[in-house]
Amino acid sequence: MQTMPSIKLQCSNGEIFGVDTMLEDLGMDDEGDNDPVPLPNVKAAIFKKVIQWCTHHKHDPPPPTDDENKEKWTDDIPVWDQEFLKVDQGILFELILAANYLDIKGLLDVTCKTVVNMIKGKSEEICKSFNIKIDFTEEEEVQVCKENQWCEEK
Amino acid sequence: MERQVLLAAVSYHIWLPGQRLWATPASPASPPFPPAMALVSINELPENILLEVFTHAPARQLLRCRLVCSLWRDLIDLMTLWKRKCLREGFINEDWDQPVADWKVFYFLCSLRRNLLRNPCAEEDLTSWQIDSNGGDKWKVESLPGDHGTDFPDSKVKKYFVTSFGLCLKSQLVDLKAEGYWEDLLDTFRPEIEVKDWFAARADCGCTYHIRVQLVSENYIVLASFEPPPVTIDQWNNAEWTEVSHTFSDYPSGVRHILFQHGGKDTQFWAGWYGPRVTNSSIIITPKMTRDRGPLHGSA
Repeated sequence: MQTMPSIKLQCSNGEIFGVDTMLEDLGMDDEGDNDPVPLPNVKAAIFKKVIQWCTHHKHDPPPPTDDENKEKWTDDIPVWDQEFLKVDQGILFELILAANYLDIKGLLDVTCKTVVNMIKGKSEEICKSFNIKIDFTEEEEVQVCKENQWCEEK
Repeated sequence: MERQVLLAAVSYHIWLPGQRLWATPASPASPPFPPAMALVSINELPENILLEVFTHAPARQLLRCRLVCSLWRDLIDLMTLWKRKCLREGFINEDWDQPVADWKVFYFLCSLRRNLLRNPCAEEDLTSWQIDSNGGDKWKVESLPGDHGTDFPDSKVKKYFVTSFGLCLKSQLVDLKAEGYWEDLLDTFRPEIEVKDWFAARADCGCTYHIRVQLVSENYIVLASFEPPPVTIDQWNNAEWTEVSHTFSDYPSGVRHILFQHGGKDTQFWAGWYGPRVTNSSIIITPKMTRDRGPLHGSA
């Protein structure tokens, strides 16, 4: 293969990135003109991080497709990714959105798992860490507690 | 018109802050880009994204998260979430087309599914078995195929229990709640309960084989029973291993324990171990439900 053509991607605030890409599935054809592909849903700062992740992982083997190797638990995030994802919640959520929009499964998996690992403790603590407003009426709260009783019993 | 020149490696060109309109040759009337989301809280994520996060969470943690807020409760009660989790865990594949009354319950039934009998193949001697009757020279463990015996169809099974000239019976009482099967699950969905056992005679001696399996309530009242007449095998038989199986379905609610008992004795009163041999017993609760989902669970 000859040198990869630069693909131009334009983020939400107008910044343009040229990437010698592994983001092949952007619906590009080879004879395309040099107009930048708009990514109105992705901010430049986030896109930079996405590129960083993709560059680090570009030699990863493709994920296994058979049932045997399906990952089940969330404590298998590679160390590099853990460090990479030590960011504000806002950035983490935007990375999830970007990974979903750009269809980068590996990044989506690892960011979702990171969020899941942050969901810890009692519901009050979870509300606090994610800035969620508890909106149950008293009756609803009683009802949900009742429905959940069996899984507290173990 | 000028085109933007780009570097070959990853690079970027910064435009003046606040400048939204970007005149490109190809799009003469470029609309301003819509503002990208400025996220403050997890609940501002689009619902399908939040669902994607939830599919990565362990099941029990997810159920506890129903208490966080009404949005989380409603999303966690969605059947699509649990169907996705079933796919992720390999409980079903993409071509699954059988109707499922409740995917959340189906998920739990799949994850709980295992042999509820302990030490079924005599690997741990007589551990976990209660000896109800120990006649003759009593229960014993031997290795396959045994004297005047045949190989077991599954090579992973290496041993069996063998009975004597007096009645030998052993049993296990399975406590369903302790095994993770909560009351509402059993009473509303009544998943099918598959019971299996294997027995064989010695070729050189006749014997009788007994089995009894009962579904009982909290207070040990029998709600359903499988107790076929004892099987008698004559001397000079082929010593082949025979499988016994029974599926309990549409049983009454209130089942909390399962009593499994089997054994037998030889018919010729010979000292030693000439009675029926038993091994590879199992009780498995399948994900196949008897009835439609009950009122307590969320909508599809």
